Amino acid sequence: MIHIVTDSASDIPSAWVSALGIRVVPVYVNFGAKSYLDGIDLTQEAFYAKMAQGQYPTTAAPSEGMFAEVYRQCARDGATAVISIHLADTLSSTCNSARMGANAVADTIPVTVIDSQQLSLGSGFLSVIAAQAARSGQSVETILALLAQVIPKTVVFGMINQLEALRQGGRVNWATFGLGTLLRIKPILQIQQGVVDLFAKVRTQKRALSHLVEIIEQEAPFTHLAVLHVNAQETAVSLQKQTAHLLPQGQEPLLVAVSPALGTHLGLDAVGFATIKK
Amino acid sequence: MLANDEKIYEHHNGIHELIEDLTFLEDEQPMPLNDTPPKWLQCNGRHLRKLAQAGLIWLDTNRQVVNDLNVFPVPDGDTGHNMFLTMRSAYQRVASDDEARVDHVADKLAQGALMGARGNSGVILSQIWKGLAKGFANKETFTSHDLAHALQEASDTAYKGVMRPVEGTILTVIREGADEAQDAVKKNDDLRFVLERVLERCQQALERTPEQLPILKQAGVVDSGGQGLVFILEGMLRYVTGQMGYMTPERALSSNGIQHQPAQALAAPEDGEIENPYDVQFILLGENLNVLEVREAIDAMGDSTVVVGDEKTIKVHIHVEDPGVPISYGISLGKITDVVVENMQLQMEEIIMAGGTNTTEEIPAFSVSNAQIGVVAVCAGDGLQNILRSVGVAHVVDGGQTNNPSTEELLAAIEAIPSNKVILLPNNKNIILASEAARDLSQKEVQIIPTRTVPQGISAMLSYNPDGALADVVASMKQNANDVATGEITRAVRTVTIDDVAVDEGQVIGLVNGRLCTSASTTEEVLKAMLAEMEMEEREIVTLYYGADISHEDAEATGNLIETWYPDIEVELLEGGQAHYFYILGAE
Repeated sequence: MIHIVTDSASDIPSAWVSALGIRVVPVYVNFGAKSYLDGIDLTQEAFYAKMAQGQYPTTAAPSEGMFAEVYRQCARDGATAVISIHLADTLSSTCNSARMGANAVADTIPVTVIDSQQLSLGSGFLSVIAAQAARSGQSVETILALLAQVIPKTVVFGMINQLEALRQGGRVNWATFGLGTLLRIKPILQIQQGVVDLFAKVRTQKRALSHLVEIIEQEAPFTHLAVLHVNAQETAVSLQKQTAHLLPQGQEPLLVAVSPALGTHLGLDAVGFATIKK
Repeated sequence: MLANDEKIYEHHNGIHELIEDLTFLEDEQPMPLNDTPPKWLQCNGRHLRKLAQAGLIWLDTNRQVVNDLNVFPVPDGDTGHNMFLTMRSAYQRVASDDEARVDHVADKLAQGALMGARGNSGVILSQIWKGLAKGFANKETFTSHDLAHALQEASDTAYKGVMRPVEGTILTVIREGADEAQDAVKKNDDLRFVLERVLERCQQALERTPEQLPILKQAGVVDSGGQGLVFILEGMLRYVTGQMGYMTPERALSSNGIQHQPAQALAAPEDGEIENPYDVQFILLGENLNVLEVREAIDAMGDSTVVVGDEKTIKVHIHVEDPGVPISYGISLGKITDVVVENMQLQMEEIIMAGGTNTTEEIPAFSVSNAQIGVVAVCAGDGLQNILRSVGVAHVVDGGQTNNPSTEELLAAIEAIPSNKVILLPNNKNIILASEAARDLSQKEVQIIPTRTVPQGISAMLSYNPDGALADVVASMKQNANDVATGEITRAVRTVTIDDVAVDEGQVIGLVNGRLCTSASTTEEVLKAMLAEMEMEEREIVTLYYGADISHEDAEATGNLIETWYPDIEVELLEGGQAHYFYILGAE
């Protein structure tokens, strides 16, 4: 049996996690000197309440030791191999920690670390696809080939409502985007194959949201579609309704609250879509 | 800058020479007093130079008259001033010349006008000179028939220089003048006669402009650009008929209207040492000059290169470490003239000694590579300039409503950025034509987005993508520019009624998208009336850029007023630093 491991920045709903037997390694979230494990000792509510007070946390990748421990646990649970799928290498050192963890357990179990080149459900969908394939008895080679095919078709779009958080995170080069500090701007970003691009710069939220929906309509059809939000349930539900027609009759885009690990960088009220193109 | 003043002084002396020389024509054919003067059948290059000079002097004498014809009561780009600077730039090319060939003198006048053109009427005036030069091509001298032909070319060229020609402007005046010349030469081939008839018809055309343009009629004025042209022609006729003595030539070349802006021009590195401290400018004259080759060679010598011109005349501007290098190079290719060398290091130190001129910290311009699209924008006010740079503008040209940059300044900005594809944002209706002229002179691929206000320019920048395809980027920037409504609040500089809005000098007035919309005694009243016309129910955010004369506290109070009147609107307050305009606001 092949086990699938991912990190808490994949935002996979807990029901899917348990149904598919995916193991999730928590990312560290630090508020000042205090460190929390994402999804374990920091709830979303507590986290967003802190952020609303103007506290901007930092994040840290899980340690090599944490990954090694999880991989060993997989082996103890009868796994013959592990595929470990993580947050984009270009944005985080999570893949790197995972690779070191994999080396540490090389004698115990073969672990293949995959750079999802994505974040949130962009990475999460890949873990789900891999887990489904593993459950149907596919080999490691087949699953890796499948992922290699799907990764380029995976795109996440998002509107940032408050630039301050993203700016403090230092993950995006503002100068190259012409996003100054003077004017309030709501950028629409796109991430594909590890590269963050500025899709559009908009002054108001209303316009940004309608632009986001337009983009999604242009990019359709999809095999997978989810609405992502950072503490903006109401807006997300509206986006979900507006894009339901892009999926087969009776299906609805998945609605996902982004984990603190990513939320800290995207800032409150960020919304977006994780997609895999048909 | 100093060197420029010296040059002007030289020219100024030259005028006295000319004034004494007023009998020039009569010397050739002595004319009996109180009798019909003999016919003047031919005109050479020297005559043309003097005609231009006489036109310049008379325009200068009447500059304020033209300025006062501005329709809008806003502190506007002054037409008289702009036309004077254009005309002076033309004349400066021939001021110290003794060229006898008409075609050569006309070429130089046209070159100078093209480079110095500023303001819409200035640009059209430069097109008139361009057309005249075309009409005089290969002529050693001209006759009245040649003049009629050249005036026709001038009129045609002026019309072609404008995207959508409007009647009731300087265009109508030159067209009717050209028409008249065709008739006049059939009756009499005396140049004096033709010129008199042309002037008379131009004056009549000018008188009719209010009938053609309702806005002129409302304001009770004739077209200012047309009036400027009439003064130039009148000056010429005064010269021909020996009435130059009434003129006041002292002012023409000594009153320097150029806005000096040394502080922004000098980007000081952190250690205070300028890498290429010498600003070198000269005009290279030669035969079969290769502009591209010269540009490449000059560019290798330093930075901020501008090399423009044709096979005979090339204007060179560069910042170098050793001013001797470009000058020697120029001499190796031909003659050089109008040499200006300035030590920017010293200038900068003087500015620093004087306590600096910038209170606002300057945001660095957006840096682009030669393969990317770069944006040049015109804007006044430290704060607004900073905002434009922060959203991706690679070069801000200081200027706007009261200070229209010349074609040459815009061209220099286009050439100064590394990009080969350039988007130009004029951000003012009076700068659009000069922008088009700069585009036509540049060898780069230049596209103009005809933004009429700074908020439009800022909005356009939101869809700027340095790596996109030029046509796509321009299309989406244009669309974005139209998404914003602009309001401007200033003080009326004259009493007038336009579009049923009565304005008294000194009142506060509000403009919506460049149109006068309201006047009142307080900013608050004006703001309220303006917002009522800005479709606020469809807006989400108002960005309030407050001017240099407004304190932050006052601006905050104004922002609060808007939020009180429109609770659903988000107000963003930014320091614009612009002169004359208390507030500029963009509603999206």
